[in-house]
Amino acid sequence: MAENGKGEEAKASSPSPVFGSASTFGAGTGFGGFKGVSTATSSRQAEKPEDDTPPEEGSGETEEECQAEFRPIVQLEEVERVSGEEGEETLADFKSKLYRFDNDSGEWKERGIGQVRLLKSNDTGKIRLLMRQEKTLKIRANHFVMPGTKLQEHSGSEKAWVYSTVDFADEEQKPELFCFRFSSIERAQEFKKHFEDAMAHNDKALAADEEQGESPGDESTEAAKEKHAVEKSEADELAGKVGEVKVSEEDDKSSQA
Amino acid sequence: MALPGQTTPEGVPAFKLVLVGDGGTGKTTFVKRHLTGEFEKKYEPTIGVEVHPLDFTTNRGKLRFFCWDTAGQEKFGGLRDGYYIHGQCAIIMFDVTSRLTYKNVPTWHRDLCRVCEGIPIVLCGNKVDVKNRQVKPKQVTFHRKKNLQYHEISAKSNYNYEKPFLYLARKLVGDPNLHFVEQVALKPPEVVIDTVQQAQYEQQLQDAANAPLPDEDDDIAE
Repeated sequence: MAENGKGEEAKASSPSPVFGSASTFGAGTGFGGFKGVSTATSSRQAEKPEDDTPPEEGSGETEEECQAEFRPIVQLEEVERVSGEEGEETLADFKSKLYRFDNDSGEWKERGIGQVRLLKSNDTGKIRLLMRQEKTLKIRANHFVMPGTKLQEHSGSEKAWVYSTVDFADEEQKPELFCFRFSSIERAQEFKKHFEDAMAHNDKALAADEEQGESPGDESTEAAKEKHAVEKSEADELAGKVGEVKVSEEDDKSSQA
Repeated sequence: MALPGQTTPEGVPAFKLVLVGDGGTGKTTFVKRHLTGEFEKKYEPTIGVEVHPLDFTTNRGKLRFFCWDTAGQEKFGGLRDGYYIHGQCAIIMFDVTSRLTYKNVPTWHRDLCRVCEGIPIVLCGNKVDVKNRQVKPKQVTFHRKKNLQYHEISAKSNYNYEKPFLYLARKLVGDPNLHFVEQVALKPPEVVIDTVQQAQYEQQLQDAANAPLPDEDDDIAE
Protein backbone atom coordinates (compact mmCIF):
# COMPACT_ATOMS: atom_id res chain seq x y z
CA MET A 1 0.00 0.00 0.00
CA ALA A 2 1.39 3.36 -1.00
CA GLU A 3 2.26 5.38 2.03
CA ASN A 4 3.21 8.78 0.89
CA GLY A 5 1.70 8.74 -2.54
CA LYS A 6 0.86 12.25 -3.55
CA GLY A 7 0.72 11.61 -7.26
CA GLU A 8 -2.02 12.23 -9.75
CA GLU A 9 -4.38 9.87 -8.07
CA ALA A 10 -4.00 11.54 -4.72
CA LYS A 11 -4.88 14.83 -6.31
CA ALA A 12 -7.80 13.35 -8.13
CA SER A 13 -9.23 11.81 -5.04
CA SER A 14 -8.39 14.71 -2.78
CA PRO A 15 -11.65 16.21 -1.64
CA SER A 16 -10.37 19.73 -1.29
CA PRO A 17 -12.98 21.32 -3.60
CA VAL A 18 -15.62 20.68 -0.98
CA PHE A 19 -13.94 23.10 1.33
CA GLY A 20 -14.46 25.92 -1.07
CA SER A 21 -12.09 27.08 -3.75
CA ALA A 22 -12.05 30.54 -2.22
CA SER A 23 -9.84 29.42 0.62
CA THR A 24 -6.43 30.97 0.76
CA PHE A 25 -5.14 29.79 4.09
CA GLY A 26 -2.11 27.68 4.57
CA ALA A 27 -0.96 27.70 0.98
CA GLY A 28 2.80 27.46 0.99
CA THR A 29 3.23 28.50 4.57
CA GLY A 30 5.63 25.69 5.03
CA PHE A 31 4.01 24.41 8.17
CA GLY A 32 4.35 20.68 8.08
CA GLY A 33 1.45 19.65 10.21
CA PHE A 34 -0.82 20.41 13.06
CA LYS A 35 0.94 20.65 16.41
CA GLY A 36 4.13 19.43 14.83
CA VAL A 37 2.70 16.02 14.07
CA SER A 38 3.63 14.92 10.60
CA THR A 39 1.41 12.76 8.45
CA ALA A 40 4.00 10.05 8.49
CA THR A 41 3.68 9.42 12.18
CA SER A 42 -0.06 9.02 11.74
CA SER A 43 -0.84 10.32 15.18
CA ARG A 44 -4.02 8.89 16.53
CA GLN A 45 -5.23 12.11 17.91
CA ALA A 46 -8.72 11.10 17.04
CA GLU A 47 -8.34 7.90 18.99
CA LYS A 48 -7.04 8.96 22.33
CA PRO A 49 -7.96 6.72 25.23
CA GLU A 50 -11.54 7.26 26.21
CA ASP A 51 -12.16 10.03 28.64
CA ASP A 52 -15.89 9.83 28.47
CA THR A 53 -18.23 7.57 30.35
CA PRO A 54 -17.02 4.01 30.19
CA PRO A 55 -19.58 1.25 29.93
CA GLU A 56 -20.72 -0.27 33.15
CA GLU A 57 -18.64 -3.40 32.79
CA GLY A 58 -16.52 -5.60 30.61
CA SER A 59 -15.50 -3.15 27.93
CA GLY A 60 -12.36 -5.15 27.25
CA GLU A 61 -13.85 -8.05 25.39
CA THR A 62 -16.02 -5.89 23.20
CA GLU A 63 -13.03 -4.25 21.59
CA GLU A 64 -11.85 -7.22 19.60
CA GLU A 65 -11.50 -6.40 15.94
CA CYS A 66 -13.54 -8.35 13.44
CA GLN A 67 -11.18 -10.23 11.15
CA ALA A 68 -13.44 -10.44 8.11
CA GLU A 69 -11.88 -9.24 4.88
CA PHE A 70 -13.72 -7.03 2.43
CA ARG A 71 -12.71 -5.78 -0.94
CA PRO A 72 -12.19 -2.04 -0.66
CA ILE A 73 -14.56 0.05 -2.74
CA VAL A 74 -12.22 2.98 -3.29
CA GLN A 75 -8.50 3.49 -3.38
CA LEU A 76 -7.40 6.68 -1.74
CA GLU A 77 -3.91 7.98 -1.30
CA GLU A 78 -2.69 9.60 1.87
CA VAL A 79 -3.18 13.33 1.73
CA GLU A 80 -1.25 16.06 3.42
CA ARG A 81 -2.75 16.99 6.74
CA VAL A 82 -4.23 20.48 6.51
CA SER A 83 -6.09 21.80 9.53
CA GLY A 84 -6.59 25.34 8.26
CA GLU A 85 -4.81 26.51 11.39
CA GLU A 86 -1.41 26.76 9.79
CA GLY A 87 0.14 30.11 10.58
CA GLU A 88 -1.95 30.61 13.68
CA GLU A 89 -0.93 30.77 17.29
CA THR A 90 -3.07 29.23 20.04
CA LEU A 91 -3.70 31.87 22.70
CA ALA A 92 -6.13 29.89 24.82
CA ASP A 93 -7.33 26.29 24.96
CA PHE A 94 -10.23 25.07 27.11
CA LYS A 95 -12.21 21.87 27.36
CA SER A 96 -15.80 22.90 26.91
CA LYS A 97 -19.26 21.85 25.97
CA LEU A 98 -21.00 23.99 23.40
CA TYR A 99 -24.74 24.51 22.99
CA ARG A 100 -26.67 26.44 20.38
CA PHE A 101 -30.04 28.00 20.99
CA ASP A 102 -32.70 26.55 18.75
CA ASN A 103 -35.17 29.30 18.01
CA ASP A 104 -37.86 26.96 16.73
CA SER A 105 -38.12 24.99 19.94
CA GLY A 106 -36.86 27.75 22.24
CA GLU A 107 -34.37 25.28 23.71
CA TRP A 108 -30.65 24.87 24.03
CA LYS A 109 -29.28 21.98 22.01
CA GLU A 110 -25.92 20.40 22.37
CA ARG A 111 -23.55 21.29 19.60
CA GLY A 112 -20.37 19.57 20.63
CA ILE A 113 -17.77 18.75 23.23
CA GLY A 114 -14.08 19.34 22.78
CA GLN A 115 -11.40 22.00 22.99
CA VAL A 116 -12.42 25.57 22.34
CA ARG A 117 -9.45 27.68 21.32
CA LEU A 118 -8.59 31.26 20.50
CA LEU A 119 -6.27 31.43 17.51
CA LYS A 120 -4.28 34.43 16.40
CA SER A 121 -3.35 34.72 12.75
CA ASN A 122 0.28 35.53 12.10
CA ASP A 123 -0.82 37.17 8.85
CA THR A 124 -3.56 39.53 9.92
CA GLY A 125 -2.89 39.57 13.66
CA LYS A 126 -6.58 38.93 14.27
CA ILE A 127 -8.09 36.36 16.59
CA ARG A 128 -10.77 33.79 15.92
CA LEU A 129 -12.54 31.24 18.10
CA LEU A 130 -12.44 27.64 16.92
CA MET A 131 -13.94 24.56 18.47
CA ARG A 132 -13.60 21.01 17.20
CA GLN A 133 -15.58 18.00 18.25
CA GLU A 134 -13.34 15.56 20.07
CA LYS A 135 -12.45 12.36 18.19
CA THR A 136 -14.04 13.28 14.85
CA LEU A 137 -12.33 16.72 14.85
CA LYS A 138 -15.28 18.23 13.05
CA ILE A 139 -15.74 21.97 13.39
CA ARG A 140 -18.48 22.98 15.81
CA ALA A 141 -17.76 26.71 16.13
CA ASN A 142 -15.59 28.97 14.00
CA HIS A 143 -15.97 32.73 14.19
CA PHE A 144 -14.07 35.96 14.38
CA VAL A 145 -13.99 37.28 17.93
CA MET A 146 -16.21 40.27 17.38
CA PRO A 147 -15.48 43.37 19.49
CA GLY A 148 -18.56 44.36 21.44
CA THR A 149 -19.77 40.81 22.00
CA LYS A 150 -21.59 40.60 25.31
CA LEU A 151 -20.80 37.55 27.43
CA GLN A 152 -23.77 36.85 29.62
CA GLU A 153 -23.67 34.37 32.47
CA HIS A 154 -26.14 31.54 32.10
CA SER A 155 -28.70 31.75 34.88
CA GLY A 156 -28.48 28.04 35.63
CA SER A 157 -24.72 27.72 35.67
CA GLU A 158 -21.86 29.95 36.78
CA LYS A 159 -19.64 27.87 34.56
CA ALA A 160 -21.36 28.90 31.35
CA TRP A 161 -21.33 31.97 29.09
CA VAL A 162 -23.98 32.90 26.57
CA TYR A 163 -23.40 35.25 23.63
CA SER A 164 -24.65 36.01 20.17
CA THR A 165 -22.39 35.84 17.16
CA VAL A 166 -22.27 35.10 13.46
CA ASP A 167 -20.74 31.66 13.09
CA PHE A 168 -18.99 30.06 10.14
CA ALA A 169 -18.66 26.43 11.27
CA ASP A 170 -20.73 25.09 8.39
CA GLU A 171 -18.90 27.33 5.93
CA GLU A 172 -21.78 29.71 5.63
CA GLN A 173 -22.57 32.61 7.91
CA LYS A 174 -25.24 31.90 10.47
CA PRO A 175 -26.39 34.10 13.33
CA GLU A 176 -26.19 31.98 16.45
CA LEU A 177 -26.74 32.15 20.16
CA PHE A 178 -24.00 30.05 21.70
CA CYS A 179 -23.41 28.83 25.21
CA PHE A 180 -20.01 27.53 26.29
CA ARG A 181 -19.90 25.57 29.52
CA PHE A 182 -16.62 24.81 31.30
CA SER A 183 -15.36 22.33 33.87
CA SER A 184 -15.22 24.87 36.70
CA ILE A 185 -16.07 28.45 37.57
CA GLU A 186 -12.36 29.27 37.49
CA ARG A 187 -12.00 27.95 33.97
CA ALA A 188 -15.08 29.87 32.89
CA GLN A 189 -13.59 33.06 34.32
CA GLU A 190 -10.28 32.42 32.59
CA PHE A 191 -12.06 31.93 29.31
CA LYS A 192 -13.93 35.19 29.74
CA LYS A 193 -10.69 37.04 30.40
CA HIS A 194 -9.11 35.59 27.27
CA PHE A 195 -12.19 36.30 25.20
CA GLU A 196 -12.30 39.92 26.35
CA ASP A 197 -8.61 40.38 25.66
CA ALA A 198 -9.19 38.98 22.17
CA MET A 199 -12.07 41.41 21.60
CA ALA A 200 -9.91 44.36 22.64
CA HIS A 201 -7.12 43.11 20.41
CA ASN A 202 -9.40 42.67 17.41
CA ASP A 203 -10.94 46.08 18.02
CA LYS A 204 -7.50 47.66 17.66
CA ALA A 205 -6.68 45.55 14.65
CA LEU A 206 -9.91 46.57 12.91
CA ALA A 207 -9.28 50.22 13.69
CA ALA A 208 -5.80 49.90 12.21
CA ASP A 209 -7.34 48.37 9.08
CA GLU A 210 -9.69 51.28 8.76
CA GLU A 211 -6.89 53.79 9.10
CA GLN A 212 -5.12 52.11 6.26
CA GLY A 213 -8.37 52.36 4.35
CA GLU A 214 -8.01 48.82 3.20
CA SER A 215 -10.59 46.14 3.20
CA PRO A 216 -9.47 42.83 4.63
CA GLY A 217 -8.28 40.00 2.40
CA ASP A 218 -10.20 39.13 -0.75
CA GLU A 219 -11.54 35.95 0.77
CA SER A 220 -13.21 37.68 3.66
CA THR A 221 -14.56 40.36 1.38
CA GLU A 222 -16.23 37.70 -0.70
CA ALA A 223 -17.66 36.10 2.37
CA ALA A 224 -18.66 39.45 3.82
CA LYS A 225 -20.67 40.19 0.72
CA GLU A 226 -22.39 36.89 0.95
CA LYS A 227 -23.06 37.54 4.59
CA HIS A 228 -24.42 40.94 3.85
CA ALA A 229 -26.89 39.40 1.49
CA VAL A 230 -28.01 37.00 4.18
CA GLU A 231 -28.39 39.74 6.71
CA LYS A 232 -30.11 41.95 4.25
CA SER A 233 -32.79 39.39 3.62
CA GLU A 234 -33.19 38.84 7.34
CA ALA A 235 -33.40 42.54 7.99
CA ASP A 236 -35.91 42.81 5.20
CA GLU A 237 -37.98 40.10 6.77
CA LEU A 238 -37.91 41.97 10.03
CA ALA A 239 -38.72 45.22 8.33
CA GLY A 240 -41.60 43.43 6.71
CA LYS A 241 -42.95 42.62 10.12
CA VAL A 242 -42.53 46.17 11.33
CA GLY A 243 -44.51 46.75 8.24
CA GLU A 244 -46.82 49.40 7.05
CA VAL A 245 -45.89 52.13 9.52
CA LYS A 246 -42.56 52.83 7.91
CA VAL A 247 -43.91 52.53 4.43
CA SER A 248 -46.68 55.01 5.03
CA GLU A 249 -44.19 57.46 6.52
CA GLU A 250 -42.13 57.22 3.41
CA ASP A 251 -45.21 57.78 1.35
CA ASP A 252 -45.92 60.92 3.30
CA LYS A 253 -42.47 62.22 2.64
CA SER A 254 -42.59 61.47 -1.02
CA SER A 255 -45.96 63.12 -1.41
CA GLN A 256 -44.62 66.21 0.33
CA ALA A 257 -41.62 66.34 -1.88
CA MET B 1 -16.99 -1.47 -9.58
CA ALA B 2 -18.39 1.97 -10.20
CA LEU B 3 -21.82 2.32 -8.68
CA PRO B 4 -24.09 5.25 -9.31
CA GLY B 5 -23.61 8.12 -6.89
CA GLN B 6 -20.26 7.00 -5.67
CA THR B 7 -18.78 10.46 -5.42
CA THR B 8 -20.31 13.79 -4.56
CA PRO B 9 -20.25 16.52 -7.22
CA GLU B 10 -17.11 17.79 -5.48
CA GLY B 11 -15.42 14.47 -6.02
CA VAL B 12 -15.65 13.22 -2.44
CA PRO B 13 -16.05 9.44 -2.24
CA ALA B 14 -19.53 8.66 -0.95
CA PHE B 15 -20.91 5.43 0.46
CA LYS B 16 -24.42 4.26 1.09
CA LEU B 17 -24.73 3.22 4.71
CA VAL B 18 -27.85 1.38 5.81
CA LEU B 19 -28.84 1.85 9.45
CA VAL B 20 -31.29 -0.74 10.80
CA GLY B 21 -32.53 -2.10 14.11
CA ASP B 22 -35.64 -2.15 16.27
CA GLY B 23 -37.62 1.01 16.97
CA GLY B 24 -36.36 3.11 19.87
CA THR B 25 -32.81 1.74 19.89
CA GLY B 26 -31.44 5.19 19.07
CA LYS B 27 -30.67 5.15 15.36
CA THR B 28 -31.99 8.63 14.62
CA THR B 29 -30.48 10.09 17.78
CA PHE B 30 -27.12 8.59 16.82
CA VAL B 31 -27.29 10.15 13.36
CA LYS B 32 -28.34 13.54 14.74
CA ARG B 33 -25.53 13.42 17.25
CA HIS B 34 -23.04 13.22 14.42
CA LEU B 35 -24.89 15.67 12.21
CA THR B 36 -25.52 18.63 14.52
CA GLY B 37 -24.04 17.54 17.84
CA GLU B 38 -27.39 17.52 19.56
CA PHE B 39 -28.69 14.72 21.74
CA GLU B 40 -32.38 14.24 21.03
CA LYS B 41 -34.24 12.81 24.00
CA LYS B 42 -37.71 12.87 22.54
CA TYR B 43 -38.74 9.73 20.73
CA GLU B 44 -40.35 10.31 17.39
CA PRO B 45 -40.43 7.18 15.30
CA THR B 46 -38.88 7.46 11.86
CA ILE B 47 -41.36 6.94 9.06
CA GLY B 48 -39.93 5.00 6.14
CA VAL B 49 -36.43 6.35 5.81
CA GLU B 50 -34.44 9.55 6.26
CA VAL B 51 -31.19 10.01 4.38
CA HIS B 52 -28.46 12.20 5.86
CA PRO B 53 -24.96 12.91 4.60
CA LEU B 54 -22.33 12.39 7.28
CA ASP B 55 -18.89 13.74 6.45
CA PHE B 56 -15.57 12.74 7.94
CA THR B 57 -12.08 13.96 7.27
CA THR B 58 -9.42 11.25 7.26
CA ASN B 59 -5.73 10.94 6.53
CA ARG B 60 -6.85 9.77 3.09
CA GLY B 61 -9.10 12.73 2.49
CA LYS B 62 -12.73 13.49 3.01
CA LEU B 63 -15.40 10.76 2.99
CA ARG B 64 -19.15 10.94 2.98
CA PHE B 65 -21.59 8.35 4.27
CA PHE B 66 -25.10 8.73 2.95
CA CYS B 67 -26.75 7.36 6.00
CA TRP B 68 -30.11 5.69 5.34
CA ASP B 69 -31.77 5.93 8.72
CA THR B 70 -34.62 3.44 8.37
CA ALA B 71 -37.77 3.01 10.42
CA GLY B 72 -37.38 0.48 13.21
CA GLN B 73 -41.05 0.16 13.92
CA GLU B 74 -42.77 -2.31 11.68
CA LYS B 75 -45.86 -0.20 11.14
CA PHE B 76 -43.75 2.65 9.76
CA GLY B 77 -41.46 0.41 7.74
CA GLY B 78 -42.29 1.83 4.32
CA LEU B 79 -40.35 0.00 1.63
CA ARG B 80 -38.35 -1.95 4.24
CA ASP B 81 -35.62 -3.90 2.50
CA GLY B 82 -36.33 -1.81 -0.59
CA TYR B 83 -34.13 0.77 1.11
CA TYR B 84 -31.21 -1.63 1.33
CA ILE B 85 -30.45 -1.89 -2.38
CA HIS B 86 -26.90 -0.83 -3.28
CA GLY B 87 -26.05 -0.51 0.39
CA GLN B 88 -22.27 -0.57 0.71
CA CYS B 89 -22.02 -0.86 4.47
CA ALA B 90 -24.39 -1.11 7.39
CA ILE B 91 -24.95 -0.60 11.08
CA ILE B 92 -27.34 -2.83 13.01
CA MET B 93 -28.35 -1.16 16.26
CA PHE B 94 -29.83 -2.67 19.38
CA ASP B 95 -30.47 -1.30 22.84
CA VAL B 96 -28.54 -2.93 25.69
CA THR B 97 -31.39 -2.06 28.04
CA SER B 98 -33.86 -4.14 26.04
CA ARG B 99 -33.31 -7.86 25.43
CA LEU B 100 -35.90 -8.01 22.71
CA THR B 101 -33.99 -5.57 20.53
CA TYR B 102 -30.96 -7.88 20.70
CA LYS B 103 -33.10 -10.93 19.97
CA ASN B 104 -34.25 -9.28 16.77
CA VAL B 105 -30.74 -8.62 15.51
CA PRO B 106 -30.56 -11.90 13.50
CA THR B 107 -33.71 -10.94 11.60
CA TRP B 108 -32.33 -7.52 10.68
CA HIS B 109 -29.07 -9.15 9.67
CA ARG B 110 -30.77 -11.80 7.53
CA ASP B 111 -32.93 -9.26 5.69
CA LEU B 112 -29.95 -7.02 5.13
CA CYS B 113 -27.74 -9.80 3.78
CA ARG B 114 -30.41 -10.95 1.35
CA VAL B 115 -30.09 -7.63 -0.41
CA CYS B 116 -26.51 -6.62 0.31
CA GLU B 117 -24.18 -9.56 0.29
CA GLY B 118 -20.71 -9.33 1.75
CA ILE B 119 -20.74 -5.75 2.96
CA PRO B 120 -18.99 -4.63 6.14
CA ILE B 121 -21.45 -4.42 9.01
CA VAL B 122 -21.11 -3.06 12.52
CA LEU B 123 -23.32 -4.30 15.30
CA CYS B 124 -23.87 -1.53 17.84
CA GLY B 125 -25.11 -2.01 21.38
CA ASN B 126 -26.38 1.45 22.24
CA LYS B 127 -27.23 3.11 25.58
CA VAL B 128 -24.34 1.58 27.53
CA ASP B 129 -24.43 4.67 29.74
CA VAL B 130 -27.60 3.31 31.37
CA LYS B 131 -26.79 1.73 34.73
CA ASN B 132 -29.26 -1.13 34.61
CA ARG B 133 -28.51 -2.81 31.32
CA GLN B 134 -30.26 -6.00 30.30
CA VAL B 135 -27.87 -7.30 27.66
CA LYS B 136 -24.43 -7.86 29.18
CA PRO B 137 -21.31 -7.79 27.03
CA LYS B 138 -20.85 -11.56 27.49
CA GLN B 139 -24.29 -12.22 26.10
CA VAL B 140 -23.50 -10.46 22.85
CA THR B 141 -22.20 -13.21 20.60
CA PHE B 142 -24.06 -12.85 17.34
CA HIS B 143 -21.30 -10.84 15.69
CA ARG B 144 -18.78 -13.66 16.12
CA LYS B 145 -20.79 -16.13 14.08
CA LYS B 146 -21.51 -13.67 11.34
CA ASN B 147 -18.23 -11.82 11.05
CA LEU B 148 -19.56 -8.49 12.20
CA GLN B 149 -17.67 -5.86 14.07
CA TYR B 150 -19.20 -5.12 17.47
CA HIS B 151 -19.08 -1.83 19.36
CA GLU B 152 -20.70 -0.82 22.59
CA ILE B 153 -21.73 2.78 22.19
CA SER B 154 -23.62 5.56 23.86
CA ALA B 155 -25.11 8.31 21.76
CA LYS B 156 -25.75 10.10 25.03
CA SER B 157 -22.23 10.12 26.46
CA ASN B 158 -20.47 9.89 23.07
CA TYR B 159 -18.77 6.69 24.24
CA ASN B 160 -17.27 5.00 21.15
CA TYR B 161 -19.64 7.00 19.00
CA GLU B 162 -17.08 7.47 16.23
CA LYS B 163 -15.97 3.83 16.15
CA PRO B 164 -18.65 2.41 13.84
CA PHE B 165 -17.78 4.96 11.16
CA LEU B 166 -14.08 4.46 11.66
CA TYR B 167 -14.40 0.70 11.20
CA LEU B 168 -16.56 1.04 8.09
CA ALA B 169 -14.28 3.67 6.57
CA ARG B 170 -11.25 1.42 7.15
CA LYS B 171 -12.93 -1.46 5.36
CA LEU B 172 -14.30 0.59 2.47
CA VAL B 173 -10.95 2.24 1.86
CA GLY B 174 -8.89 -0.83 2.69
CA ASP B 175 -6.64 0.83 5.23
CA PRO B 176 -6.63 -0.69 8.72
CA ASN B 177 -4.82 2.38 10.02
CA LEU B 178 -7.14 4.99 8.57
CA HIS B 179 -7.88 7.67 11.14
CA PHE B 180 -9.76 10.91 11.46
CA VAL B 181 -7.87 14.17 11.08
CA GLU B 182 -8.90 17.79 11.44
CA GLN B 183 -11.62 19.09 9.21
CA VAL B 184 -10.15 22.14 7.47
CA ALA B 185 -11.08 25.26 9.40
CA LEU B 186 -11.61 28.02 6.86
CA LYS B 187 -10.92 31.54 7.96
CA PRO B 188 -14.19 33.06 9.15
CA PRO B 189 -15.10 36.46 7.72
CA GLU B 190 -14.63 39.51 9.90
CA VAL B 191 -18.28 40.28 10.19
CA VAL B 192 -19.75 43.73 9.97
CA ILE B 193 -22.31 44.15 12.66
CA ASP B 194 -25.81 44.64 11.39
CA THR B 195 -27.51 46.73 14.03
CA VAL B 196 -31.02 45.48 13.38
CA GLN B 197 -30.03 41.88 13.64
CA GLN B 198 -27.70 42.51 16.53
CA ALA B 199 -30.46 44.22 18.50
CA GLN B 200 -32.74 41.29 17.81
CA TYR B 201 -30.18 38.83 19.10
CA GLU B 202 -29.21 40.87 22.12
CA GLN B 203 -32.83 40.81 23.10
CA GLN B 204 -33.01 37.06 22.74
CA LEU B 205 -29.79 36.71 24.70
CA GLN B 206 -31.49 37.29 28.03
CA ASP B 207 -34.23 34.76 27.33
CA ALA B 208 -31.70 32.23 26.18
CA ALA B 209 -29.56 32.77 29.26
CA ASN B 210 -32.59 31.89 31.36
CA ALA B 211 -33.47 28.75 29.42
CA PRO B 212 -32.06 25.62 31.07
CA LEU B 213 -29.24 23.65 29.45
CA PRO B 214 -30.15 20.06 28.60
CA ASP B 215 -27.52 18.51 30.87
CA GLU B 216 -26.18 21.30 33.03
CA ASP B 217 -25.56 19.00 35.99
CA ASP B 218 -23.17 16.73 34.11
CA ASP B 219 -19.55 17.50 34.82
CA ILE B 220 -17.11 18.28 32.10
CA ALA B 221 -13.92 16.30 32.61
CA GLU B 222 -10.75 18.18 31.68
